Amino acid sequence: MRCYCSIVLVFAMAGWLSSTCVLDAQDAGSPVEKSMQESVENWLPATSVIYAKLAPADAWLDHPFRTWLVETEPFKKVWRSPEVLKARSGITVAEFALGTKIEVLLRKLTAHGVHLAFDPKTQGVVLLAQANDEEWLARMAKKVIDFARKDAEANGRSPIESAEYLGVEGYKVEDGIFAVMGPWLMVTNKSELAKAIIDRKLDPALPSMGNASWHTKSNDWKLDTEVGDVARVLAIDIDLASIRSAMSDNDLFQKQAKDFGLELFLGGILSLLQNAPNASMTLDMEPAALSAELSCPTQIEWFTEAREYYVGPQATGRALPPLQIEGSIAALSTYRNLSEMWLRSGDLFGQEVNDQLAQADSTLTTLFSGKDFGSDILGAIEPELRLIAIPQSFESDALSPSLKLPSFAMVAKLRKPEAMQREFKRIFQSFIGFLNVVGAMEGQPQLDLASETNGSLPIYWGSYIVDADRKYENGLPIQFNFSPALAFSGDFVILSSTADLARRVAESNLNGPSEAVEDGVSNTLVELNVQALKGALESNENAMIAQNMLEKGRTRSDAAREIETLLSILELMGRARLDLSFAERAALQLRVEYVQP
Amino acid sequence: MKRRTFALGSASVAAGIALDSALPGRWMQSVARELNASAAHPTNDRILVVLQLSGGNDGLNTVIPYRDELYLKARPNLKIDAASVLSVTPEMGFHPSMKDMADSFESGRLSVVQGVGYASPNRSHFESMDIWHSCQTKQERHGNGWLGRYLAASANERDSTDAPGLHIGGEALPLALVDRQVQVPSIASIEQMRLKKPGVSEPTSLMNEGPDPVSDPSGLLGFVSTSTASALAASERLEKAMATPDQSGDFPSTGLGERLKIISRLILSGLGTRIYYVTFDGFDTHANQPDAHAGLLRQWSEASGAFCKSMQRAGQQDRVLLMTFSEFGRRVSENASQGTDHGAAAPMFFAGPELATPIVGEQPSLSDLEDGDLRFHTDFRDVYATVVQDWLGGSGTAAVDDGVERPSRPLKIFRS
Amino acid sequence: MYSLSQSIAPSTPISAIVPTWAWQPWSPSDEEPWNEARVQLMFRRGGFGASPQQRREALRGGPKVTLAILKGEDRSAAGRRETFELDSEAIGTSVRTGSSSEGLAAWWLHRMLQSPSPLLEKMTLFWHGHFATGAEKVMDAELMYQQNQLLRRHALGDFRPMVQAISRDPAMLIYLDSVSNRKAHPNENYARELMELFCLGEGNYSEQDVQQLARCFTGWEIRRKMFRFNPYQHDSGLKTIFDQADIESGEDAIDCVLARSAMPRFVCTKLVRYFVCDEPNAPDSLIAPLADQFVRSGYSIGEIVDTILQSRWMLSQWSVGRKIRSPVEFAMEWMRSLEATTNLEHLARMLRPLGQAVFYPPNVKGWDGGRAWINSSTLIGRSNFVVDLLGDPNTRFDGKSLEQWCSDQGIQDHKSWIDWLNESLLAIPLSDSEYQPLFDRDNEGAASASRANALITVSRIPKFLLS
Repeated sequence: MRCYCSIVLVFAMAGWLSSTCVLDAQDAGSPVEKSMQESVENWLPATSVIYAKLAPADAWLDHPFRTWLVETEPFKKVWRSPEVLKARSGITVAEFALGTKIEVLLRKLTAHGVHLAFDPKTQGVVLLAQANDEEWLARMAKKVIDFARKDAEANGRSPIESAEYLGVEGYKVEDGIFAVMGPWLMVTNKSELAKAIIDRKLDPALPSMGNASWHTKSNDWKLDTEVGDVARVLAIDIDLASIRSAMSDNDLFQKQAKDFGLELFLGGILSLLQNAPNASMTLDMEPAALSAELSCPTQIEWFTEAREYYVGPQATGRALPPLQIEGSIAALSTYRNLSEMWLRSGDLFGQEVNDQLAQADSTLTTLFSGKDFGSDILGAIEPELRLIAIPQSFESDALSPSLKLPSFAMVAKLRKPEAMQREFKRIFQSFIGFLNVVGAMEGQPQLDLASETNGSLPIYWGSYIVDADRKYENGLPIQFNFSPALAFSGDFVILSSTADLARRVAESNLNGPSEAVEDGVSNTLVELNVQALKGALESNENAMIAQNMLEKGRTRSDAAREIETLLSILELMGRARLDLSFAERAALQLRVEYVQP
Repeated sequence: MKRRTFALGSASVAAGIALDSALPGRWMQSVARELNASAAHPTNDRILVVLQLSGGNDGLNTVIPYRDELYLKARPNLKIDAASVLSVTPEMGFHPSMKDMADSFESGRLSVVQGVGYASPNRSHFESMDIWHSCQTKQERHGNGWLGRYLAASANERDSTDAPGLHIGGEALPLALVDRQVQVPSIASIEQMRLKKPGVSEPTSLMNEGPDPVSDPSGLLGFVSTSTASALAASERLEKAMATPDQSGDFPSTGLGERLKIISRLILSGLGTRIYYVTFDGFDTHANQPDAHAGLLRQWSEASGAFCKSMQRAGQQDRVLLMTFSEFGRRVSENASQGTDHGAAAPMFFAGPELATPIVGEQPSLSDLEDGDLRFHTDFRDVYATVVQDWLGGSGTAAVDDGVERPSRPLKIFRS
Repeated sequence: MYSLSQSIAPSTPISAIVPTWAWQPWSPSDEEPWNEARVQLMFRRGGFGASPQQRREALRGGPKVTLAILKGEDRSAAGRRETFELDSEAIGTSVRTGSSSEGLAAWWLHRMLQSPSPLLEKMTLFWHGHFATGAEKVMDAELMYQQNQLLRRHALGDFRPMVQAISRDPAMLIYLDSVSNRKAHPNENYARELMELFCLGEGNYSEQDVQQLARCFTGWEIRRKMFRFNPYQHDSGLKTIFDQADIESGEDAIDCVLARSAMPRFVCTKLVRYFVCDEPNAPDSLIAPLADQFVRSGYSIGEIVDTILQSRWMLSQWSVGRKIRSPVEFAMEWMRSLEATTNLEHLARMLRPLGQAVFYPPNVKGWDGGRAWINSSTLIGRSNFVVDLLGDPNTRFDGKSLEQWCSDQGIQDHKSWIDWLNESLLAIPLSDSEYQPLFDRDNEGAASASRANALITVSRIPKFLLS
């Protein structure tokens, strides 16, 4: 399966990229009736579980994304690399043998889109493409088969077999089966699947995917081939119920999550995976961004009571708009009732995780000077959590740590602000004390406790002291990235890795524009500024180079080259946004700007 | 096209090799036979598995004097009362999550040694653990431990090139196993004991004869050849042991369960190793103890139970002893965070073979405390010395090495 | 095959080796030509093996040139040194920032693999085993790093300043519990090890000497990770160590210990064991000329090492196969011979199961070496190590695939590959009964698979364990 997908992809990519000018591909031919296109779904066996439609090559070949990509430096570098040159020369040979450019071939072959499906019953993968010119297709197919025959003969491999089934001629080249049916090209790895498709093509009365319940429900998406605007280039329909029953052992489908992180990050999504009959995925090309969406139908009953911590009561948990702070690398906002999750762990997890959590609970409660971690600490804050990461600047080289980490902050609303402010302040003081005791035992630098009242915003923080007696030959230790801080602003509490960020967050508008709060439907939102991320990485370039040397055993110059390439790829991206929502349809959207704004 | 040729080619190579390595040289075969024979009938073949509970296990909530008024009073929130305890005598019961261990106790294959500790108890985890490992105080210590000293003293009795002791786990080698005269390996996973077979031959399958004295004047070549053959034989026996399915239930998939499973497989493979060491951390329950401690005890009990059962199934139960200790017990009185703080005397546990008495020594009195802690009546060094002398057949005094004849008083733990 | 012709038979008992003959510089003759086998022997014992290019240079140049290559004094070394030190520093800074002693092992392995002065690294490894200090107790990568640099600085220098320096080394004193050494309670640990393990050997001092020596070190403390002399805790009374009654300071006490006649013998015996043969221990008569030279040279370690490496004894057929490769030698020689590079952190981790994790010696005595390297788990470890290394996609051979590397070395067919392995990796060549099956077995299939398979097979032969 993987093999064929990759062959198709390689050809598609090669054709797509190999020439930047538009070739003689505009004669897209007469439009084929809609009924005929859609009938593909009726040809596929009912046991199929994944069905994908790929837009005609015109849609993605002529899209501005391609025009932009081939002009980028990293792409040009890869395009000229020896590996790619080798592949390109192979394609040139094939183009010569076929007498046509791959790009032209792709445009003609996919004039009415490409359909892909996976049928677990036969373990078969099939590709069906409808060309705009039946005769042309027959001619091409013959050339390919002839070429393969000669190649097999020259290399002493077994000859190409051919067989006929209900009037359709099929060819077996290595492990693949090729057949041409009028304007349709079929490529598959299993002859049983090929036969099933031919059967259904001839007899529409046979049960097929077209009338399978999971498919029809999500059959309303369409591929938009309009160039220059948003082009939907890929749409995938998935029979989740069948996959679920086939993979019932998989961790994703267990009622109780096997590990804590999985539940914390994916809990609500797991509920959907365990209940939704189907799911779909789309990929859109926008003029300046790529966006992908994974979605499925949602019903409130699917979320067990224990998962309320994730989706909120009646699935109404909403994330606040993410924090907006100038220059931030990433901002995350989510609805996650951690206290509820901690206290419901008995329902959410199996024995093993609960044993570990009970141990962690004991340790954390000790750490928080006897305050019960689940109910007193986590229970003190509302479930709307916001996190932000921002690069930090240091006063001077002498005062900067050798590894420069961004600073992080978390904001949450306090349940009982007045009582809890005092409580948190005390816990924070003992926490700093605790860090100092442990630090002293391990010979680490010590924290100095300080506080200020910035207007009505109290801030408490600890800052590491440079030990005058000690030589820091290697720059300051990693601790100097931190000045752990606690701040309050209105009803909000701010926990930050640095006092500076705590101050900036406290001064920002934490309530956010009220209309955005009301209109929001997202459960989790992540905004990433790739350029800021790149900046943060660049300030640690030496460390990254050294890490690369360690991991690859390379010389410094080789490692430096690789890091440079990596950073130049980041150069190409603007902002990225991930959005998870549980409306009538649950959706996970990822959008990446490929051109910097 | 080219890739295909490659795939065909390497498949045929792999097949050829498999055939070849199935027919090792004559010399190799005879060495392996001898080794297998000696593995089946070793002279002194008793094995000691030491399980260390790190952090200070609350002994009082492990074997519980559930009728003692003073216990119930000292533990208003943490007490395990008569209704839930797994009572095994009218005065004593196990924590409810220790079903497997209570069962072993009933069948005479688990013994509790009460009130174990040492004079002027140290309440630092590290220092007290070092005392338990070295049997010596900081001033007397020489950087070696009781098992290391035992292995060094018994080095001459070993003829196997298998490691004399093995520490199972990724953490640093416990001080108990250290001695200048012996090297005890740490293995983090069983894969470290299994030969990887990437489709090529085994090391000795190329040797048709052992080296002759002329080409091997130093004897080193003969030594490395025999050792290699022995290592291969051990690895092969391990493969067989790994392939033997466990009939009644397997080890729990907890960290401790996995580690004890490794030890079980190594023992069943007939490895000449006689000391195994494994640690289980997390017993420092200063706050919210009930759930945390119950979980820890369950993991311990289930893993130990599975281990003893696997030894029984293989008929090895009478030669494998599982000894469990912790660096200290915890205070008698609970603290204000539903937890307990560092204490002193605590019970030790022996499991596996049929034991002499189910309970060795009295539960220390709850009315006669020392700084709020249980008083010890049995020095752990005497327990160690008894194990070395009565179980392993070595010198307890030499292993403990604290300048006193050990055991300083006889302890009846083992049947013979 | 190449062989060393012999002036003493391989089976000559060590007691029959004539001391005056043994330490004379070896010189070529018709019976004992300078050949590939001698080049290999010298590179194995004085370094961590060598690349085909270096071996060709050494074969052309003779023992003097070979020693120069080992010391990084050859022509090409100067050019490589600067890049190498920059690379090493980059890695060192990175792992010290992460303050992990395991990362430090990766840094050192990089030096062993790439250093233009392999003898220096080999001697640093020797001293690391001699003044053994374990990171698991010191728990500070920076201090371990500083100690390692200290050992490197003195590795081929004079023994006296080295012992003086190591006696003040924070990592060493932490490891031996001598962080605080008070007048009222002199800590005997360091005093004892200084005599027993570092300078004299057991039986060459009394308990009385230990107690007196410990008094000299009172007031030697580690504060804030640095050495400090605390005069208020120093016992300034006169002490009698051995027959000397006028000793006051720790420095003088060290000098007094170094002046014992047992010292040069003790150190030279250990060096001979490191370079020439694991067993049996050389008799005192055989060590005596070296010990004399050690004293005459003002305890110059470099001079003794030069003498040993160029000696008739060391370069005789007798010493071939007389050592069991340590795990580090096993791995480094394999890699250096094939110009291999790989994930260094992974490499450091992979070496642990073989029984020699650098920065983590088993105890203050260091690694025993010799037969102690071998047990069933370390042997399985060695076999698996080679498989893991070849399976790691980061493992490259001079930046290439193994197949490409072979082809660039002019190794085109299976036979030339087996011959190359036989000649380059094994101290004792394959016998006919080993050669033929090896030849038959992997002589089929794609080159990439058969190159790797033959390499694994040879690396797993018991002979490969010997140096």
